[in-house]
Amino acid sequence: MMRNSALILAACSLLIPTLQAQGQTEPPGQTAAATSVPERMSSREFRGLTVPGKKVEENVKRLTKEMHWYSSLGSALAAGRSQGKPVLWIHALGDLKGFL
Amino acid sequence: MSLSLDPAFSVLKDHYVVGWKNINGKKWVGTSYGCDQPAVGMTNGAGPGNMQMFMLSPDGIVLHCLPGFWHPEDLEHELQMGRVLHRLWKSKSSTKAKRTMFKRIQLQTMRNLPRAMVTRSGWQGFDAANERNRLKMLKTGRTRDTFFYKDGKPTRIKPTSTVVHERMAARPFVRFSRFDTAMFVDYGRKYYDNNQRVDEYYGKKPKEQKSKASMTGKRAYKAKRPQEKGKKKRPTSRPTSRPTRKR
Repeated sequence: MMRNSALILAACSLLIPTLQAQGQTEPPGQTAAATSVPERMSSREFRGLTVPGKKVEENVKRLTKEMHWYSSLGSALAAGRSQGKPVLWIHALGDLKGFL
Repeated sequence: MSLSLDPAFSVLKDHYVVGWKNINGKKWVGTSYGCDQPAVGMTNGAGPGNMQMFMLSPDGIVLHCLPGFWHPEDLEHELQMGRVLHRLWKSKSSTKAKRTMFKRIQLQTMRNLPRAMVTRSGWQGFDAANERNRLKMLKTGRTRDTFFYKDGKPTRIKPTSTVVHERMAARPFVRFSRFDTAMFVDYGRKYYDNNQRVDEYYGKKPKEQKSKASMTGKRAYKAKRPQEKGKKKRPTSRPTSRPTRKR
């Protein structure tokens, strides 16, 4: 495990030439012309998507049933420590339902 | 909406502990009509003030932060990167080395993002317009990190994914209690609701108009300007006959 992560880090350091000044140049994959028509179309389609309230409710029920949601940061971090997992801590405006 | 959909859902279930907090009343929070309404598809990073997803190590270090909405596939991509950063934080290297590597991983990920994800990270019209206004209001010599620059001049607005990764690269392994969320989510409009009149379609009454104070841009100017009295209306079409000249 440790060996793998060390290899990933080493590969990353070799791939990156130097840290350029941030935000001055456009990365090659992000120029305006880089995105193709089908990608733009699928993005536009997704933006036009509407999920009715009932379906959202079903999805949220699945999410809240199959996973335990901690409401205190301390207890979430303690659970992360015991399970050896990182914590996804969400700040949301309103209740747990709806935004998820 | 995106957390409950695969592939994001399975990564969350298997590799993360999850928790949430209602941030109503915090200073960086935008206003919204609430969440008892149908959901609509959005661009990545839309509504940054209304929702933030922090990936934290169990000792309270911020590994990554995603403001606003994210597409399920893109969210999975970012969650996987969060796991790599967690492994890095757990490693036995020095804190300085870890921070340098954190920056590199963030910037390298940003450069190699899938093109479909970059496309989905476009700005909503009103957010982009607000950013352009903010750019215009800047004093000379100052720059805004939401734009690409060439020879000191802004060329194009950055995709939101780029903005997020660059801002994270400037905050390597910061403790959650010291993380400047308000600054981090400061892009686009503060007021946000992209329900696109979907409620009306489903028979719900549209909620009350927001107050004049919370409006920005052209709408605020129109709402706030004093009523002009005695001003004649401009004719909508040109008069058909020419006015006679007095001699």
